[in-house]
Amino acid sequence: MTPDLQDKRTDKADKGARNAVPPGNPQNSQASGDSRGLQSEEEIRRSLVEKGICRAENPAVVLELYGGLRLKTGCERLPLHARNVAEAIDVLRKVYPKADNLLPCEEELGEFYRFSINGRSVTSDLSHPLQQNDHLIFFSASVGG
Amino acid sequence: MQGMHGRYLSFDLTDGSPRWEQLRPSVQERVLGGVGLGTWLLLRESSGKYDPLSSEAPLVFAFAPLAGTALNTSAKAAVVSKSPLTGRLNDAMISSGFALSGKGTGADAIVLRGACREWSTLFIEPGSAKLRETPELEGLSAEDAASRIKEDWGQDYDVVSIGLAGENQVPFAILTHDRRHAGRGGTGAVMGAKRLKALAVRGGEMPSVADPSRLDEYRQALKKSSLGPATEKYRTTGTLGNLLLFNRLGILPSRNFRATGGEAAHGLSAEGLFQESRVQRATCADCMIGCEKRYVAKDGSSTRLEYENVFSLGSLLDIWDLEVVVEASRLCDEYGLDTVSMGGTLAFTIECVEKGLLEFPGLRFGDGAVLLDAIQKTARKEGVGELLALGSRELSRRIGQGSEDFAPHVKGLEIPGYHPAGLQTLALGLAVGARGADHNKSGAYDLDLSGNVDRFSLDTDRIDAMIDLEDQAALIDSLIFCKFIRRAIGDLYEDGASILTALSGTPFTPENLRKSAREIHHLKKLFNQRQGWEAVEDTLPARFFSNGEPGANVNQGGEGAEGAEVAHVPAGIDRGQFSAARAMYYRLRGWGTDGCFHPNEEFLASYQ
Repeated sequence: MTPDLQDKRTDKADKGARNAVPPGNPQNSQASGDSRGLQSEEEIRRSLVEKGICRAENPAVVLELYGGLRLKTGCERLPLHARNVAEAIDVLRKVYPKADNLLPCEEELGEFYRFSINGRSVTSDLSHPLQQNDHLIFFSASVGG
Repeated sequence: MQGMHGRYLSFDLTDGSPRWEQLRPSVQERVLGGVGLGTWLLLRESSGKYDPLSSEAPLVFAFAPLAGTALNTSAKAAVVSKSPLTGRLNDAMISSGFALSGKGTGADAIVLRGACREWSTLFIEPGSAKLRETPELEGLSAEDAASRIKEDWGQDYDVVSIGLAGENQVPFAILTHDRRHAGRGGTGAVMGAKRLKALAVRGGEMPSVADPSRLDEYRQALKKSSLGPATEKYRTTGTLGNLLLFNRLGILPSRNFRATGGEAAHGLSAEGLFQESRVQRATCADCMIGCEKRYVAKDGSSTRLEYENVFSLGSLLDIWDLEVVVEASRLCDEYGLDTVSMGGTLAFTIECVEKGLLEFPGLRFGDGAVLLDAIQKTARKEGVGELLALGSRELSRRIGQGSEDFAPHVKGLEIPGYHPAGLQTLALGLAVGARGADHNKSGAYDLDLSGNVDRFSLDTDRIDAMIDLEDQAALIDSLIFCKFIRRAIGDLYEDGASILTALSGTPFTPENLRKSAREIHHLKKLFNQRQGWEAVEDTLPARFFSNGEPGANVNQGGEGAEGAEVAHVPAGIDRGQFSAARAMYYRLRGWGTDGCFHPNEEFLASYQ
């Protein structure tokens, strides 16, 4: 892939994924040969699999972050493999220790946070299953203001 | 009942005379304070149907049991009146030093009647209430007027004041204290009609507390719980954290609710703002959350940015330029206008122009200059501002030609930034709300986004839970806590009863408080019925129903441009589902099928 093609594709499809890896993290994209640190969603997922953070046979999904989580981690969207909400959040905690510090324990997570699947249904159930290509939108349960 | 004074001050602005009235404990223990006390006082101090801008119209500042206890977020008071915008009950909250100093005057409430001959300021402190003519304050912004009062009369006064819009009785003018506002429903116009520029209070006389050490235990526990995940959003991004998420969920209204979302939403979002601009954090008195976020301009000036003003002065008007929205917010603060009603009325007017129902060729969506000009003209009631200053309901009545179907209000109060078709429990909450389209008195978005209901439809099974949220909101507004702390309180009724018992020495139970919350809703309804409420008011504009205007509710993109899926809101709310849910709401509230509360003699006698 030429640098030009990489730039265009990233600007369109992977804009949110460009911050998906914390600075200094060894999974950063020097490994992919991109000198600007940009990775595709698939590259990020593969990297997470290689590190044993998630399993390739699980559905490929995208975790979308908003508000404080996005600000703390610098990540808009994290591509990963997960069978359910709990697994996706577990990956998030492992990739971003800052998110782990911000979030309550798993037992309390559903009390204070919500998950929308593809922007439509909403759940607080961590065992909610995920399908291939699902977008999991992770947000604070405090939605008023 | 310790923790309150057991009396209120009724002040006649016409002749400058104060009158102290005792509060019966049996009533006070039920209405508590804040909105509950204010609503009861409004019923007591008024009779029959009246003009909210007339001399006899009462304006009530109601203080609360928890104010002064230093419990987190408890420095709040309620401002209650008949709204000139809706003709119905209006209960707005105001925060910080005024709530503490006001209670410290020795009154549980201040009821203002009559009208001043000249622009004046009322000064109240323990044992004294004096009216002073202050014509030099006329035309000043609320903030400048407050500064002048403090410079001239003492920095220890806490001041509530109005700006130009209040002086001109724009029906959605606000009251301001310490850069915070009693924003909705036009309390600023009610004060302006009385030619009262400001109310200045100085405290010093707080009521005793029955069990200070027990209360301190609750204070410490709440401090701990309210600095955890329960308030993380408010501490980190403030309410502006809603914007990008709502865009993604298809509930960020745009173009007068014809659309949701916009590709440029990131530019108005907290996520964008915090990364790219300087932001200051501020708090009310007795608050450790600090939800207030202020955008700092290059010249060092700062403007408060909340979700509701960025929605109403931004996305609703298809304006995605942060600098424009900041300036529009600043102007609304300076002139003293409610941002939601300002933006909603302008969006409606622009759509009328687009449809050829009005002739103002320059008015169009997406034009920041139009917005900034409109705000100033509205405050002055000049040019197009003369129309905008009517609010969307009255303007649609005058225009007719079907414009009523898309005037974005309930009972005259413009709809806040939650697209009703994508949050249908909230849609019902907005429709039946005593003061009109009010998300804060309903809170049903919590249910819509709980995962327990389908937010794109409405059924009767959820109404019990919806009513419980309304009741909790009424209780929170009467104790008073800030609603942003609601998730940090384990069980509002249990904890509320324990805290009140420690404060007052009177044994409160959770059942007492549940009953209080229900009865506060009855009192609100009684007031509205007295003012001519009719069941047809408990609805939404036709636009939001499934047989509304074709092409409504088109999502413009959300974050789709970044590769994510976009959530589309449905064509509208099903009328049959809505009617059935509303009928269930009336039934579970104990009201008649006509939607009216029919109190028995015992109920009425108990509130005499």
